[in-house]
Amino acid sequence: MDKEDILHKIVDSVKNYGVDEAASLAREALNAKIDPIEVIEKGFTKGLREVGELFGSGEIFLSELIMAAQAAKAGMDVLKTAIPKETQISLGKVVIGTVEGDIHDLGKNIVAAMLEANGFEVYDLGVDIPAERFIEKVREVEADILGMSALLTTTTPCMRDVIQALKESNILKKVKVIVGGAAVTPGYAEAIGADAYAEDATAAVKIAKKLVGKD
Amino acid sequence: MREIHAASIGILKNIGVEMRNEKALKIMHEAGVEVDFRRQVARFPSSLVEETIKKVSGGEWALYGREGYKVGFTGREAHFYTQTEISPIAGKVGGFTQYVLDLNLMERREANEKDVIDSIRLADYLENIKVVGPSVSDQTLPPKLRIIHNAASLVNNTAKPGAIEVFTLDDLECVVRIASIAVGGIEELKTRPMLLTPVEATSPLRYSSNVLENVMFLAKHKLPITFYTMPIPGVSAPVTLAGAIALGNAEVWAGAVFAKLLNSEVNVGLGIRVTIFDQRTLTHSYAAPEHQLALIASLQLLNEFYNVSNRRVSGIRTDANFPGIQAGYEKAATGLSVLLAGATLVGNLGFLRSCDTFSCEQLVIDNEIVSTLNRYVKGFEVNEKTIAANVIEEVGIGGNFLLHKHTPTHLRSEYWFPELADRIGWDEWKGKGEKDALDKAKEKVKRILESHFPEPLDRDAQKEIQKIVKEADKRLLR
Repeated sequence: MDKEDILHKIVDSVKNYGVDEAASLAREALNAKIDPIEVIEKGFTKGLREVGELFGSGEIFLSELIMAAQAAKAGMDVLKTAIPKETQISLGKVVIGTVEGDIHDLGKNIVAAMLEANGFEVYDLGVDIPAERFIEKVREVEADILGMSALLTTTTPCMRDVIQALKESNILKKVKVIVGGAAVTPGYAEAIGADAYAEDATAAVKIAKKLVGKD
Repeated sequence: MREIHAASIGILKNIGVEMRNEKALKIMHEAGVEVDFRRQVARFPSSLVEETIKKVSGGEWALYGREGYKVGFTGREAHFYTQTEISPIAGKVGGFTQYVLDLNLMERREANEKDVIDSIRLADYLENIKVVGPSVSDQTLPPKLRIIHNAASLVNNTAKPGAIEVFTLDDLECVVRIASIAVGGIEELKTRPMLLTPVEATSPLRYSSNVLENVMFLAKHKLPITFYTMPIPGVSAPVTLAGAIALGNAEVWAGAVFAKLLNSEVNVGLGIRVTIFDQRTLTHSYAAPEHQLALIASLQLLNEFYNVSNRRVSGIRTDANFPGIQAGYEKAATGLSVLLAGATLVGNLGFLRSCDTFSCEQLVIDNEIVSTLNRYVKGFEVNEKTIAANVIEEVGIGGNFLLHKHTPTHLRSEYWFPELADRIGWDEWKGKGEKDALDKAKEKVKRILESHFPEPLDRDAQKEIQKIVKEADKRLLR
């Protein structure tokens, strides 16, 4: 197969949610010595963009968008082995979780899925996450963005603590913080020093892109 | 139904439910539940679940308001309620239903204390609303204070039993203290419970620590507990409806097992509301046909298979933002289907789109919708008097039944008559100002709010309650 063929097939693999296909095509591309960055941009990211448009127009469902993202991820994981570590292939790294004392994660799960489908590298910590875990993970993966969610108003103080700790660290003070969930208001977000408040998943994606300068 | 029941038993036995509270896990462990303390997961042997089903099945109980007002859960009749919603689906800031659709101002605005009290007074007046919860919460208050302030407003503005959802144990303790004062003491509250405080599972298969603390508190005081869950197919439950119901069914029975282990005499109610999430628009739909199907199936399960007398559902809903045509037909259709499926506690009356907006006019219209639905469900009697064979003979061939005394004697008990809906001809309708049900609802709201003032509690009770509220304000804002 020539380069154009492979790239076409890769776009299709994303649109058809073919996880194994995507991975095997990525391997083929590497064997054919095609520049991995080009494979990502003209193959996987292109496929995701087209799928994203279909989702935006209401033609495909969120769970289908997620499957497309999983296929793209499978392919990109293969390609990562051939890319120098420092090269940024995702839009940015996001750590996300529901704060300590709270186990509600519906919205958070949807936000995580949407961010991933839109090209972010997402580390979802889960629920009931104490401040120290958020900070530790942000440090470990060198996150660009931290997202925190809460439904219970009693648990929101944890967000303030995390933001405070991030601001006090030289390394971590440039991490952008987005907060959301039924317990959070734009006013509260501002009061605790968050960089943004996201009302829903669609807003979260827009804001995240803006915060990493990729809008 | 048998297959779903078997699946739920399997889920409880093999997968288990996360119960995030050490004390609760210990209690369950001692009772023979298989507990993984590290993962905080309880797996329930099927014999224990079946035993609990037997204990809950057929149990009848009631809520009591002031002055002998009784709302019985026999499993054979439906009662309607109002209550704020604080689920993640309602989703707004601090929850507890944030907005009022103000038709005088023609805008949706944030609710205040007057709106809270007005919503209670309206529900107190409307004859078809049997359990009254505040329908909005005061947005000028910090979120933590809203529940307790709502509870205080509630007991002082209605003589009917109340419904209020709580989050923390602190909230619950305050709310129960307030309710006790209103009825004359905690012992009185125990024998004649006045308050329903539903507790919610967090799908899939989890109960949070504060919910379990509340369950332990309610069971200790022998106050009724209604377990409720809202699995979302494709997100927190299988996308196929049968799977979502099996999951939700497992969740509520896990709650019931725990409650009965704590106190075998505690009264239990159950509710499963599979909530549809549109994966194209990322919004919830309350009028989606699948929502109704799943509600009907869950109610059939609770009614016919398990014979649980308190079958709760927030089932009269609309996706519309305005009390117009869409709201009308969606409310009527959703209401009829859940009634026919056997719901015995149905709400939340008065809500529009996504239950973050309350409308007084919609409440009044819902009251009428509910009264016509009640008539459907009531059916009619077949007996000598109603067959009226002798009357047919007396009136005879070609005769006029208007002239027979049987007609006026039975007319009022056999027929339902609308107050807001029209049954007049075009000319008369034009002559009377072309009013529709909404216009008449507006007038009715005005009339009720101007004239209906429920008897407040006595001075001492009010003072005691205010003390609790003030203490809570100080404590929660610290």
